[in-house]
This record gives sequence, structure tokens and C-alpha cells, in this order.
Amino acid sequence: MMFKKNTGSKLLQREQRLAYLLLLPTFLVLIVVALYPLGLVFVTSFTDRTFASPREPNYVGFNNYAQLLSMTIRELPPLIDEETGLQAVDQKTGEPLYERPLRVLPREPRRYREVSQFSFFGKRYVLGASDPDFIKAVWDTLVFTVISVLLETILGLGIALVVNSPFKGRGVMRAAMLVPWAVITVVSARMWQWMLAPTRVGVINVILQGLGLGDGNIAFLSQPEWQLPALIMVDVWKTTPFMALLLLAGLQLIPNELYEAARVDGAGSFRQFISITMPLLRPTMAVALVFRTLDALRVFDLFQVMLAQSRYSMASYNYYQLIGNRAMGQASAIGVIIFIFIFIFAVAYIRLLGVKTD
Amino acid sequence: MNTRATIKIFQYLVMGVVAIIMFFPILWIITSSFKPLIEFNSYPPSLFPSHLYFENYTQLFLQSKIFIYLRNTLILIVGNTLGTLLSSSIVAYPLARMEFKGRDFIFGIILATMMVPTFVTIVPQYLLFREFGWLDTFLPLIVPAFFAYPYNVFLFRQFYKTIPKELDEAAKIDGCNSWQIFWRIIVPLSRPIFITIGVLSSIFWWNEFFTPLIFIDSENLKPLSVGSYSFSRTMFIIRWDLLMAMSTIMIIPPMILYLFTRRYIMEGVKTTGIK
Repeated sequence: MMFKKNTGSKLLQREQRLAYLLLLPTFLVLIVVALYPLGLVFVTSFTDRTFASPREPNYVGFNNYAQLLSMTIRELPPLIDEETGLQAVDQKTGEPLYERPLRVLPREPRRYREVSQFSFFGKRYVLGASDPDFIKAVWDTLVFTVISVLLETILGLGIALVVNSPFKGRGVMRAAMLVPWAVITVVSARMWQWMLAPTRVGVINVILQGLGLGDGNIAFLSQPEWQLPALIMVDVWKTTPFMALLLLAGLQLIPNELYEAARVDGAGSFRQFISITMPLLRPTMAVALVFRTLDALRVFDLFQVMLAQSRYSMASYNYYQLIGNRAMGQASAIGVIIFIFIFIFAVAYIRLLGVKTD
Repeated sequence: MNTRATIKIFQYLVMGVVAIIMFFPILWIITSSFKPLIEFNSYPPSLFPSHLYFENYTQLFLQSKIFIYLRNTLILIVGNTLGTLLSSSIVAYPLARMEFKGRDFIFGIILATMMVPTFVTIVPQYLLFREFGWLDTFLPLIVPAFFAYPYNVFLFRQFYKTIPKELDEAAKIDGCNSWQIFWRIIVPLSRPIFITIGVLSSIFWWNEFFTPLIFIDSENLKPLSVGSYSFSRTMFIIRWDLLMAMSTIMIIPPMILYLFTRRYIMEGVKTTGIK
């Protein structure tokens, strides 16, 4: 008995050593490509370091963060017409005029510029930020992420449900379903850029005009109100198949007996969907949502290729600061902020949906 | 019976619409790549070219370094896929099967690093690889794969967990050590996950844009993704004819790869993270 236990613990020790040995390479790579860089990014974000320059960086405290995140809301006083004593009105559009935001927003200690204007209880306000491009990039990325992931989930679930039920040509459909996902992002961005072109070259405009919508000259990628919807459409087109694949795999894990039992009990298809499909699909959906959301939050190539730096995502703004402006301290602060965003999303999902790693 | 028929019709309707939306853009690109530039502006546009026109392809081959880009992409795909299959499959083994101190903690760290986006850590990586003298080579793009990517480690671990532990026990009684259990039992049973990760990694590197954009400068080392981007940016006027020919070439290989390995991918997806 004693002898047996001894060899057991010896074996266990050997196994432990082997385990650490096997894990060593991953540790090396984690340190080199993740932990060390993260630490360095964190430290650099408190300096004014410039990229590819011999100048010694200075410690600037939270300056980079303040520069990126400072925001303020100021009221815009109405412009008074001197003759009538009433609020001035635009000659052409008939809209009431307000003071120019530039004159209202503070200049010291840092200069604020306009992000957007809004009305609240009959008063006009302006939202200013010291780095309006970054604030817009954060907002755009969040809107892009929420809407595209939501649409992809709903459409993906619909496709998965249809493809999971028996019908003729199901095999072909399942095989063909993923094709858009296999088209690489740079190519799909280029191809949509072409199809969305504002003239006769753009087939989407031609089709829309044929259906009696629009004047055939909608500049989807340069008119600000169309940019985000266009990008979301491209992303939904490309990624819905992947979502459908994940959800289809989840659907196939649900035992058929459950549906049979429900049918015997007289439950209709809708009832079956609510009481069986949805609860059993939840873990799959949770994992799929986490992957897709984290992916969407770091969107880079769609913005970079299709909008050609006329508008940024968080990632492409980071790239612009780093490569375009060489502001490495600033770019590092952006990196830290993005990391915090992603972390919050991940934790929220794990809490809300109860993802289990086992 | 009647409701069934309605459901059937509804299904076909949905599938039809989905199929058109999914495939129209791809069909449009492929057929356009056989049109002369002048037909690109014809109105109303026609889906099919008036006759098959191959000049776009010859021009593309003459004007761009597409074969060099293609070679580079293949190098990246082969290097990364081999590297990650070899290393991740081994690293995941102790995490799934062995008892040792701090296992869950280590696994937690691996999960956490999956969340770190590349572009956050790219600058320090850049500086580090510059110290190594690795800039403008394939090394920073391939070498890390040989040290196991967390994401693939995670997928392998999830798959190993579905293999019954009784098999290990039986092999242990027969006198196998941990290594032998791994090579003789775990690996042969894990074919679906090897293929899944192989395909995902290949498609990923066919796709990957950001890291080669950062680490590669020479035209002769650019992969297709970056090459096609810089090719289209060097044009004075955007040559949609050449771009569509290039896009067609880039669409087809992943499609073929996917069609042949679809069954394994489904199998892999079903048994891993998506449990």
C-alpha cells in the first residue's frame, strides 16, 4: 500500500513537470506578444513618446487620456436679429440660427471642437471634445458593433433554422451558405465600394433607381449619413454566414427526442421554439456573440479600405495616430481605452449569458 | 397539411432571397472580370459580358506582381498553419488532461489574452521585432505561430475534453506514458479539430491584412491582401476591370478549400468552443 502510494506521487510529480514543460512555449509567446507589449503600452500611454524618433520621451501623466476623452456640453445662445430683437432665421431654410459653436466652446487649457449639436427642452446645446475624431470613432465603432452583431444574430438564426429543417437542396444550400465569409475583407470592401459607387458604375444605385428609390446618385461612402449603414450592410453580408454556421452547429446538438416529446404533448412549432430551441441554444449563442462582438469592436480593414480615412473606427484611428501622426504615447492611450472597452463587453457577456469555459 | 405546404413555400422563398443576396455580388464580380472596361459603364448594366474577354487577366499579370503576392500568401499560410497545429495541439494537452498546480489560473490567462486585440499591442511588438532585426521579413508573422496561439490552444483543449478519459486510463494500465497517450490516442481521435483549425488558419492568413501591413515593406514580400490594396492605391484612376480580375482570383481558392472540408469544419465547430 505504502509502496503504491509512493510511485503514484512520483508519477504525479513527473506529470506535473511534463505539464509545465509543455506549457513553457505558450508562456514565452504570451510574454512576447501579449503581456510585455500590454505592459509597455500601458507605460507609454503616460508619455509623449513619438514613433521612430530619437527624442527622449517625457512623462506627461494622464495628459494623453485627458486629450482623448475631454468632453463638454455648452449651451448655444440664439443669434438675435438686431432689427427685430427676435431670434435670427436662416434666409434659405427658415431654420432658427444659433451662435457658432467655436465661440462658445472653451479654448483653455485645451481647445474643444464640435462633435455634434442637439436640442433639449427648447434650448440648443453643442457637444464639444478636445479630440472630436476619437469621440466619433468610439461612437461609430459602438454603433457599428451593436447594430451589425444584432442583425447578424437575427438573420443567422433565421438561416440556421431554415437550413436545419429538411427540404430539397438543403445540402447545396448548407455548402454554399458560407461563400461570402470566404471572400477576404479587403476584396469584399473593394467590391462593395465599386457596387456602391454613386454613378451608373454602381450597380446598387442602378437597381435602387430601377425600383424607384433614390435618384441613382446616392454617394453611400461619402455622404456621412450613409457611411455607417453601408459599412454595416457589408459586414452583415460577409459575417452572417459564419453566425449561421455556429448557430446551426448548436441546433444540431439539440436532441430530436425533445421535439418528439413536445409534439406528443401537443406543443406547436412556436411553443417548441420558445421552450426548447431558445433555452438550449443559449450557450452556443453566448459564445458566438462574444466572438463576434469582440471581433466587431476591433474592426479595421472595412473602415480603412472603404472610407479611406474620412472617418475612423477605434482601430483605424489608432493606426492613423501611430503611422500618420507618429504619436506613440497618444496611440498607446487609445490602445488602453480600447482594451478596457473590450474587457467590459466580455465581462458583461459572461455575466449576462453565463458562458462556461468547461 | 395545408400549414405544412405554407411552411415549405416559405422556406424556399427565404432560401431564394438569401441565396440571391449572398451570391449576386460574387457573381457580379466574376462576370465583370471578363468585361472590357468600356462595358463597366454601359447603361443599363448587364450581368454577363457581351463576349468573354480575357485581357483583364493578362493585363493584371503584366502590371501587378500578383504571382509574387500569391507565393508570399502561400508561405504565410503554410508556415502559420503548420506551426499552430504542431504547437497548439501539444500545449492544449496538459491543460485538458493533466493535473498540476495553477492549471485553471494558466488557462484563465490564456483566455484573457484572447481578448487583447492585435492593434493594441502592435507598437511594442514592432519595436521588439526591430530589436531582433526581423522587420520586413516573414519572421514576425510566422515564428509566433510555432509557440501556440491562445485561441487555437483554447479550441484544441475544448475538443480534447470531449474524448472519454477512460481511454487514457486504459492506455495507462497498458503501460503508456503521457507522451504515448497523446500520440497514440488523443491525436488520432482529434482529426476533425486538426482539420478545422487548419482550414480556419488558412482562411485567416489568406485574409490577414493588418499585421503584414505593419511588418512588411518590400513589394516582393507582400501577401495578396496587402498587395492588392497597394496595387489599387498606385493607380491614378481606379481600374475596376483589373481589380475585379484580381478579386476573382482571390475569391476562388478559399471557396474550393471550404467546399472540400465543410464536413470536418461542422464537426469541429460542434465539439469545441460552441458547446
